[in-house]
Amino acid sequence: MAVTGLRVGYGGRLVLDGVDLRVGPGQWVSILGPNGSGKTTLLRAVGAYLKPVSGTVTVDGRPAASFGRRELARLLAAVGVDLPPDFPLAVGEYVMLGRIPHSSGWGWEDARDRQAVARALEQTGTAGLADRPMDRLSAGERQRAQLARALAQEPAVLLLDEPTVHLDISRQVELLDLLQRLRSETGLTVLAVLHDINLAALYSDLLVLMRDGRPVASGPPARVLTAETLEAVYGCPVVVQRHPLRPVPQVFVIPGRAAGAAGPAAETAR
Amino acid sequence: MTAATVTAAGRRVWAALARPAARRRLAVTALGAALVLAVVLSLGMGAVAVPPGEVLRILMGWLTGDVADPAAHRIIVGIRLPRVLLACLVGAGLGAAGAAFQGLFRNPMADPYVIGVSGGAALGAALAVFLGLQVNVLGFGAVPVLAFAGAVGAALLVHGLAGGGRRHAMSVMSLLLAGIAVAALTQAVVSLLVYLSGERLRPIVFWQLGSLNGAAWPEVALMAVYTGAGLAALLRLSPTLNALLLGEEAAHFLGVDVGRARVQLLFAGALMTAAAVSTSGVIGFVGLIVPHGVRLVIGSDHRGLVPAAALAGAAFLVACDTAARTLMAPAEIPVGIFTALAGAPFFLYLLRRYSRRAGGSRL
Repeated sequence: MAVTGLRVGYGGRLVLDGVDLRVGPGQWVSILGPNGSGKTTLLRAVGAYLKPVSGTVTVDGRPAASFGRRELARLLAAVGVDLPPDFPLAVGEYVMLGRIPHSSGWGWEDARDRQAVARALEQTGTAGLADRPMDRLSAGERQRAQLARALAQEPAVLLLDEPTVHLDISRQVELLDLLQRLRSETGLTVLAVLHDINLAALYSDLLVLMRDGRPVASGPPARVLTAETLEAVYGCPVVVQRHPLRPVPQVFVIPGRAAGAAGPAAETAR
Repeated sequence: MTAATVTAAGRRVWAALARPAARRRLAVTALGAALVLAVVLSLGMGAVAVPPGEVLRILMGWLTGDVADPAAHRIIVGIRLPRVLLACLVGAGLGAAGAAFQGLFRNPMADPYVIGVSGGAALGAALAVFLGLQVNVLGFGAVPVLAFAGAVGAALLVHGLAGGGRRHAMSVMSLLLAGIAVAALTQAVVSLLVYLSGERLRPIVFWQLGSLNGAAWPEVALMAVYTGAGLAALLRLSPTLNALLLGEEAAHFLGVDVGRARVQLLFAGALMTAAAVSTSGVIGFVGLIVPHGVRLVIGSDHRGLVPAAALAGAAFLVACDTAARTLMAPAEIPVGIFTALAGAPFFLYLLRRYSRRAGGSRL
């Protein structure tokens, strides 16, 4: 998957201004950056939910715009785009919605659809919840159900918009471990918007650091996560050190030294 | 984990996945049976009471061309059957349209009456009569054609006023306020037309109250075409409605062309509402209560919800109309008053029962 010279705007204002990005098959690429830097917009443009002003997105060597919607939905699935479920729906029924791009005619499910759903439930550890109404799930369970719904689409690429938000640390690690495992088992490609720089560093092959609609730095975590780059992007001083157990940089903020209003405190409060 | 427990767990998941479809089939079958029962009972009720067995015999005789008792035949087939069938079709159309509007607007308060679509249709129909228009579109006269235009116009207006097209679900409040405004506007214009025309437009008053009085075979045929087409379209769009439950962005990522789907759903719903209004006036609350009640029982999957709401709407309107024409006979109560009187308590009962069982609010 590749993005070249992508410019996207809402009502005349450019939110993405020249983004280039390359995601290899089976890679995990995470997008980082302050609020309003265009991370979610990039994800939406990659999924053809937003039309670019200029530039192209190619998936599997073909321009994304040349795919039919359903065809694209069988290739790309998104997590974190749902509105909260206001209508009664069991987890099994919800995950079955992931089969919509594969269904035809009147949309009746067949054994193949049920197999895909059963597999997705099992992969995400939500099989025991199949009968449970969606609005009775904990935040962690809901995230896993969303992931199951996306996996039921049997995509090649998973787009994740802040999948760990509202989760406590054990659930965050559980979810990211699950994604890591799926990736090594099935060769899934992952493009994720993540809030937590340290988690992104631990799980991603490549990081893309965005500011004002442009990638400021991209590459392996060790290259992107330097104190100078982060201070320039987030506007607050940080210390970068190696993780005690893994050869990966981790970022530490320094209390009482936020340079501007848009510091990391505002970032985590969102 | 041993192989045996894996298969047992696998079987449990498989059973859990098959359950919603089985529940939908059961509900549709049960509602179909209830509708047949309601039709047969209703045909037997009235100034001349006919027992259900006799009703069935007469209907069989009618279908096979064997009329044993001409007087009973005239009452059942000639007078009551068109009215009961019209009630079925109008009820089915309003119920299914309500389910579609609720799904489309992602809002349990949406219904053809509440969001002003019925009012728009009534205005169109009243204009056609007032101006004495003569049009012919695909065999349909001025009244249904203008009713359809009015319904679509009102739907688009409410949709626009309530902030549709933005990324987020329309709030209940903005939808209701826009609907109330459009309904009040259309009603005022209809009233003005009635006032200006004097006696000539007396029949328009009936559109505002809603009544199945005056049902005849041509109306039944017209309704069958409109409702059949609308229902087929909505059944076809059921997977799309399901995707829209998750919001527009999620629906896009499930392969739905959201803009096109919205227009298709709006048109199908407006078509059914317009047909109902042009033959029987503004009958409220059927499209609100029926899909709501059905959803509480069988869940939100529109592949089951749309047909179940159509069948339940049909049975509900047949029951209401039977009460409307028999309770104070020979006088008749407008059926729109009845749908509200009977529907609201039933709805409250369902709400209490199911929110208690599920242990909290699901609405």
